[in-house]
Amino acid sequence: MKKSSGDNWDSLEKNWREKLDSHKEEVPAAIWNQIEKKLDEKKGKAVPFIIHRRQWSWAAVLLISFGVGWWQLSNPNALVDDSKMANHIQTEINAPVQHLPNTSTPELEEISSSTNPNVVSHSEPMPSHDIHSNLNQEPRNTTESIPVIEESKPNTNPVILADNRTFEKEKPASLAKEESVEMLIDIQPSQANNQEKENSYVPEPSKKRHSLFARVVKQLRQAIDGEPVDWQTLKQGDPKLENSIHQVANTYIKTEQVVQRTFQF
Amino acid sequence: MSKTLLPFKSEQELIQACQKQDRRAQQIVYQVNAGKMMAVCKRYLGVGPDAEDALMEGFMKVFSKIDNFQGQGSFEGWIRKIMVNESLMKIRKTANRYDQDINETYDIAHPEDAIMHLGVEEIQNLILELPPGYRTIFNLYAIEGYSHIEIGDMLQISEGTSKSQLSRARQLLQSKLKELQA
Repeated sequence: MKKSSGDNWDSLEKNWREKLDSHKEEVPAAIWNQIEKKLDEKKGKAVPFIIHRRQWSWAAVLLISFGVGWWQLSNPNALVDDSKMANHIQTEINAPVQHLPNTSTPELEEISSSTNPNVVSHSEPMPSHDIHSNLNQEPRNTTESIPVIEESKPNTNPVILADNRTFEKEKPASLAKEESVEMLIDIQPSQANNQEKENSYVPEPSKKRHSLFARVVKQLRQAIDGEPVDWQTLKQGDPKLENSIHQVANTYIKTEQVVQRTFQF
Repeated sequence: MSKTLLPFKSEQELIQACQKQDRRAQQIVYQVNAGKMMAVCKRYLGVGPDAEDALMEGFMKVFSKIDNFQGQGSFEGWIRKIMVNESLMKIRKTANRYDQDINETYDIAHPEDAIMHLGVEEIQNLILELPPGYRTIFNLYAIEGYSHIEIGDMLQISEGTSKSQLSRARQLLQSKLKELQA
């Protein structure tokens, strides 16, 4: 039986493949030298980059330090804005605080019932018409707080808490935080502005800001050298500086990470 | 083989040393494979600087990509694949020789028995006399053992083009073999 042309070619090609598979050609000696040279060049390129990486990180640290310093000098209100922002955030966080029945102390209930006849104790149920009568009463004193209606018990009668003035005088120290929240909610806009003015941070002379910057840079250097750093010492009892210090430190750390990642890439 | 791999006990150890960029191991890999790979490059690119360039660039790729070698298949086969790809890249750079999409296939006469006894040098010369486009496809299909689909993917051509180019290559080889016998 005669083979087809395809089969014939397949057998021929198989024959050729076997012969050519083990076939070797002479290779000029210069080729290995060129390969070796290229491999050395490749190796050489990688080493200086590793050496320079440390220098790059130092350059980045210096650049960041000068940048932060320049930013602080050119924006004298930067610290003021930060402290305002911090106050604002604090208010936002504390605003929705509700007075749960479990949190009130017997002392507090006693005080409120003795100083204000409109206030009813949490434990006593109050008829709904009493609430309306309270609301329809003549306007209160400007320092008086708007009663907070308890929302945690929708089916029970609402409870009115003591007004702020009485609260301030006789409340225990542990409730100081709650007090500040009520003050911020209840005070009239004009009073709020006045109080804000009183609380607002007045920028100190540039001498102090300079010394703060110097201290931050010193601490950063210590951190770079691997020495333990106590960031709290920078505050020196001034809590308004806390955010700025943390901001500077965070910016420095984040920037260094970005620089490292970029150069690794 | 074990003598050529010295001071490495096995091919595995040699590859691991190459992965650590050990120069001695790299030299042994080159010495063991360079001759065969030169033959591969010459079969695609002919005698000349192109084959030497492909060999050099191919070995550079072998040493830089050696981490990618997973141990599936032979190490020599992996190097050969790199060399073939490098040769194809060289061919592609010079001109596009695969633009003919011919679906016509040619009837091939039976190769004579005498052809089966040709020497390696003669076979090599016959292949090198083919035009580059036919030569590439004949090498890939007949010598390396790739399918038409694989060749189509490698050269960015259709399966039909690969088949027709192989037929033309075979036809040309047939006429050359007749000349040799005459």
